[in-house]
Amino acid sequence: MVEFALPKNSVVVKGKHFKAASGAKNIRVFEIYRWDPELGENPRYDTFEIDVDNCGPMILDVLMKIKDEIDTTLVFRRSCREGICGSCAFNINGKNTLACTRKIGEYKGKIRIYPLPHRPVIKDLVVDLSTPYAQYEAIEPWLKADIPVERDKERLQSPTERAKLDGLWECILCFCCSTSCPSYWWNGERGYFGPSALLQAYRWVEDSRDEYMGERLAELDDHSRLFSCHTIMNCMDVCPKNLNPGKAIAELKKLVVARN
Amino acid sequence: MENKRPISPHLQIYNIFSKDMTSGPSFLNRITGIISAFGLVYLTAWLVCLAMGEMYYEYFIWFITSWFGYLSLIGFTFAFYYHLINGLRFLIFDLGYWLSRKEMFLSGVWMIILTLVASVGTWAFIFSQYILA
Repeated sequence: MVEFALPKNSVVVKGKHFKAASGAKNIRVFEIYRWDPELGENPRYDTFEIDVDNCGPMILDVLMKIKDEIDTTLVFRRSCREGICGSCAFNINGKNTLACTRKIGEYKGKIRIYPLPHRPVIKDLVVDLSTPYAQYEAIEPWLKADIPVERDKERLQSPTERAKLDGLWECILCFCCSTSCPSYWWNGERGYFGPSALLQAYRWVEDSRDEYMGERLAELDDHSRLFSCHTIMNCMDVCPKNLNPGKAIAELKKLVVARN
Repeated sequence: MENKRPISPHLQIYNIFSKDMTSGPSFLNRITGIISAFGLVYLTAWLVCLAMGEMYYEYFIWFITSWFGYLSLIGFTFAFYYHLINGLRFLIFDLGYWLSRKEMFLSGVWMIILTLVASVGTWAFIFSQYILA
């Protein structure tokens, strides 16, 4: 059954409030989700007043400022700080995005930073992504070809064939899309592959060098894996790389139907 | 340890009804579908009362012409047109069209405009031709 409400142990309660240092002129308020497995308590949200005049311009700068100067126990993933590693994906003011590519000034009022939705929480803003990773592995995201190529030769591709992969290969696996998808919330653990894995499935189906298109489509021809997508399109809306997983899924559905 | 982990908030925090016209219209499509199912109960009651005879039919007419009857019929009309027009929009999505951000937004706005025009038009017609006439 679809569960709309959070289980009892997941309900978020009010947490601590950290005031800005006196004399700060430009204060922005941040509400951040916290959960510590060692406390045995419910998740809470802490409120931080940040002097943005003494902080970098991006949301990720705020998180790092908090960790460096205010509360060192705050836990979050980050790496490249330039939108290519896909680590700092959070739900910011109700939409999934990368903290490193979003400016503080883009948002008005209080800024709420929550973990990616409907995932088991490991600590604070870090969630368990093993299901989406396993689904990505399940679509076998590598070139599968049996016809041997000549020694020291490449598998050639025309510029037109290569252009078909644009808008597909750029995915950084941040899982903003999968965790924004209501269908993935309810069906992700029950077999739905989710937009991120399906975008990559389409990337290999479309690759002119891959010889396993039929097998790949057969694997996806399933009520859950592919057809649990109901074209809600939050995936396209949130993708920080401006890709369109929903469109790729629609094309996959057409290919699967045409095959039968 | 594993099952003690909380689930991160989803519906509670997600901006479902934002102006992007993605999950909002989709959620409303489900809701209007459920409302339309209740509309079928009214339709069935109407036919049953018709089959049962004049007296029962009079009862039904008394109910359906009460303020509550009109209110629910107007509600069903909105739900029906919304579900119909947005359903057609989803069929176009299934054919692989209108899936870009801009088309998604524009088709959503037009879907709502058409729903309002059709619903208001239907009731303007009913009032002018049958009720006020």
